[in-house]
Amino acid sequence: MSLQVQGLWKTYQQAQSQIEVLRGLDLSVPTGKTAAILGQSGSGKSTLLSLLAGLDEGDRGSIEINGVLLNPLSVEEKTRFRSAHIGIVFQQFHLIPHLTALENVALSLEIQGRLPNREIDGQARDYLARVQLSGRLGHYPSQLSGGEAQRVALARALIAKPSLILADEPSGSLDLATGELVIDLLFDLIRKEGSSLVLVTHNPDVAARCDSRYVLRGGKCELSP
Amino acid sequence: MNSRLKDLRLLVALAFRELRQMKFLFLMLVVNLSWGLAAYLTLASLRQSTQKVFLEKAKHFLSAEFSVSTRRLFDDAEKSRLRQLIGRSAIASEKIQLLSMASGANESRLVQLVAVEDRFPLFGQIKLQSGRIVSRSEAKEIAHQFKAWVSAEALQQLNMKVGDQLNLGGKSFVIDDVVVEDDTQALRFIYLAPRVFVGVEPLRTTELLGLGATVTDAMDFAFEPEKSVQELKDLKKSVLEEFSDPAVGATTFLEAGEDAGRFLGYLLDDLGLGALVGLSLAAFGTAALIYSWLHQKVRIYAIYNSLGLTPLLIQGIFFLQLTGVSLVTSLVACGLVSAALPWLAHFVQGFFPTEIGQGLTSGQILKGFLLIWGGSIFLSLPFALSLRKIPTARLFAEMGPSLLALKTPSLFAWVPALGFFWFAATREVNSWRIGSLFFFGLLGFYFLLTILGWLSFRLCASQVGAVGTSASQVRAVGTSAELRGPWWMIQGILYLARKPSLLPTFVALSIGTLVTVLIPQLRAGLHREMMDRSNEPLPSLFLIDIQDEQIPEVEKFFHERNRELVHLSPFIRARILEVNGKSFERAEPQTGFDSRESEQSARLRNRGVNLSYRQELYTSEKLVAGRPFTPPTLVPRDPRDPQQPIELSVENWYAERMGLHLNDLVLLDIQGIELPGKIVNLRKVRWERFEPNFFIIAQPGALDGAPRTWLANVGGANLPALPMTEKQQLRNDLAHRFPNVSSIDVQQTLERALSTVDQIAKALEILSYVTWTSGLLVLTALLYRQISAQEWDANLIRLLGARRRELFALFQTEFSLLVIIAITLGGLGAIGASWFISQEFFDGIFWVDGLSFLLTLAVLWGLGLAFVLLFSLRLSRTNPARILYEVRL
Repeated sequence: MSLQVQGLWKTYQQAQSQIEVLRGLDLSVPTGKTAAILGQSGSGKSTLLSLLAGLDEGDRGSIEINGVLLNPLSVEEKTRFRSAHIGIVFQQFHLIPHLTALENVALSLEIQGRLPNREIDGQARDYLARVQLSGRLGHYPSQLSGGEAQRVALARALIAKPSLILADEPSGSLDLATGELVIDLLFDLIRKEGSSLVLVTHNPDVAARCDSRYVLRGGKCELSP
Repeated sequence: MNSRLKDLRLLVALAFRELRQMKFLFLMLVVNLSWGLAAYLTLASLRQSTQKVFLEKAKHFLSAEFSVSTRRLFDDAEKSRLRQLIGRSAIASEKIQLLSMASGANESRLVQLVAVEDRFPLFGQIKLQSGRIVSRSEAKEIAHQFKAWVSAEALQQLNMKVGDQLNLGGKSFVIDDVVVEDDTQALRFIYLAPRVFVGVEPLRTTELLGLGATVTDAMDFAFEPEKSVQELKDLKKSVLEEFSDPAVGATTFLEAGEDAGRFLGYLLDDLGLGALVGLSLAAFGTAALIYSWLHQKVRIYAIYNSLGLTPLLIQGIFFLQLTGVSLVTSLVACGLVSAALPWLAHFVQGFFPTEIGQGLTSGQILKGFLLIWGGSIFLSLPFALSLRKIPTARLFAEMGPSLLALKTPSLFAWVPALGFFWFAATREVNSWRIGSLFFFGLLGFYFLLTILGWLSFRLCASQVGAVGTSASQVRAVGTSAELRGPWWMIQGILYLARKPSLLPTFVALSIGTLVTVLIPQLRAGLHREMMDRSNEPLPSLFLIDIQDEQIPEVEKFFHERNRELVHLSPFIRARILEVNGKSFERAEPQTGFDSRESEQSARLRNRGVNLSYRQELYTSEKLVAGRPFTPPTLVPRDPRDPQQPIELSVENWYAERMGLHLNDLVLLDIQGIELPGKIVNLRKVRWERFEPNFFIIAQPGALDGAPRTWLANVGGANLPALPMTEKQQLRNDLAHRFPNVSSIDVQQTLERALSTVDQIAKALEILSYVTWTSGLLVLTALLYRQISAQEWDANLIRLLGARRRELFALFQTEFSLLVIIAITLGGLGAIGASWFISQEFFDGIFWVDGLSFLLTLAVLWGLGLAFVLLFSLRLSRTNPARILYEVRL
């Protein structure tokens, strides 16, 4: 099992009141499988992603990725674990503006620090080729279109060969055609890499391409047909 | 490869890549910091080279390796004891110095007489007009004959030439040569009168060495081989043990060098304080830029974190970048200093006996780098600490990227930076008191100006009908009939009133203005106090060394010339033996002084004290504590009875330094006779009035029989000043009639003092310009930050349909108001600070030079508004289309 979440609770303190965003959420995504999370705005989708990415702490419950429990890890350990096992794709792309497309993609491997620079460079070129951006290696994010920027972000998320990809509305900022292209690429790459995917989306068509679909409602994930 | 090394390589690569993209911010930081650092390093260099030169020339200034001196004449027995103690093998030479009137055929002038023996100078040399170079080895005619070497200045004042007869203390001396270069005089500008060299032997035959005459008799020594510093210190200890009289002092050549450099040291310390103001302003700017830096980078740091870079490593990137900035800043500052030093060396040449300003040492460069690096790290610590919690989760869409901001640092996070600055300030001026006063004054001003700025902005907002800042108070622009004025003006003012981030800009500008206006104001105040005497004319002459029996004759002399002798005051040498039953030891430093205050205190203690007696206060004195003396008729008592101590009045600064308090019991030694006294009041004295003032004044009666000379003024508060020609004639006649009585031209002395004040003020003024330039750089830095912060708003406003000129007017309103209010408040603050400083340090001299004040403010307003114009133009030209594709940071 790539991802196993059991009884996850998360509460935020806002002014005088407590908001229970997640209330004993369970979720499991087997290795190499894809899961879509649907839900209304404010239902806790982003909270769930940030907890799965180890960026935040749940109040109760457990998250296990590749057999490793995230809960007892320190911030430092979680960060290292994320670098090795989790790739994230954001709706807003979040590329580093002062790095070229090639440098942005290479950054994931540089941070991992496992490969020599020459190899990193080769792999980054290869991944950009896979997302059909061989001709845009030296371009800065400001010189790329939205679709191109998101493809760079895909390459960056996948280059380190993570076992789990967390995708937050990856086509949400793109037009329909570009969005479809990006989603096609995402599923294609995931299949080839054998990674698992947790995809947050509002788009039922995108969700339909996943192996399983969940609706986040009342702080819990309900399996959707 | 080791993982730590890999991490470091990655950090360096990331840090460098980021810096590449932050050229403007990087440049702003470097310029901002290097300006302040350059001023600081320049002074550090001047200070170090001053010390070096003065130590190298120390033996010349003392003209000896070791010297024992007393403020009277040594008797033969004392000389013999001294020779025995020092060792017969030492080369000895006696030197007597005193102020005296010297007369030519027509003119008389006050001169500094230096009476020497054959071997003078034991070190250093004197160059004479004839081409002779006087040194230790040659015999000197002046030592035994009635001949004199006269400094060029004295010769010119006396209107004489070589070969003329010079009258000194009733004896005639032939002017044998003219001194053109004197290696034995440390500071060229601190002296009351030009030097005249004569022999000790002929001097003793004149009338100048009468009882109580103000002389310094020094026995100079040179050793072969030269003694080590420790041997000299030991020797000094033995001499002081042998001669318990505090009037006897011993000086090693090293101390003489330090003494000579001390005044300049103080000046440079004070200039250092000015440099610190510049640095502190640079610090404001730096803090703002660093905040802007991190604010811009928080999204990038969040992305790094999402990719697996730990917060610690992200902090590492930031600190590496700061190190890079500090390195470049240090290099730029060193370049600036290297360019400035030759010019500054030329400027301070008038102060120094020799070349100075040799460039920066590697130690100073390292210190500068560490100061900037450490300072930047301390300054950025509050922000850097907030990097521990990078809001990476905010990158997810639902959280909203506009919420990507670091936590505002708590006030406590600033404590290390403030502590660092406080420590630096006290070390810089070598005085805890002045450094702390400066630091807390600046901090106080910071808070005061923050409050005043906030109130001013609120006042502006209320003028257009918008008052509150809380949600319930905020009224939407254009929806309320109460808001008055065009929309861009209202918006500009609302920005001002509702953006707390503008307040640091406001404060930095205000403080920069304060410093710039303050120094010329202080200078103007001093000038007015010292020179403008329309209401309180100064005495024309100050007379010293009048003997007891001469008083009726001197009074008659002036009476015959329709002039009056006023403030006739006895002058008695004394020393303090005990205070409240405890011995008043002489304080000799073992390891050097740790502050300016302790040094001054020790030197005063070692000096003994001159006192006087009279019943009433002079106009230049004011009682600040205690009560006046008891009328003499009511105290029929034996002054030596410890049960009936004489009443004493002590000058308050002296009391503070000596640790003396009201009602303290003091045991005085007046030339061998012990006399108990009690401090009944403390006085404040305006020394610049040139009246015969003393640190200690005793009640009349008890000291009537003590050995004394007299001081007096000619003219005074109620008499018109003597015209120059009449005054000169009077001095000439006086010198002929009473050769031992010296007269000091008060006006001339004040002018000389003022020219020194002017030179110091000039140095401070240059520094104030540096400071204000720092202020402008801070303004630039802070405006840059505001632009970054408001660019999004500018785009939005343009998208909503605002025309470019309306946007320009909006930012003009916001920043022009900020600049005008900040500079005006800074100017008014300078007046307040000037008043405070005058009360604290200058005995209440306070005066505002209105014209100079307004002119300075006008220039500052002009410069500030010009900057605002440039930045408003820049902001109004922003491209609104960017809002469509840029994520708001």
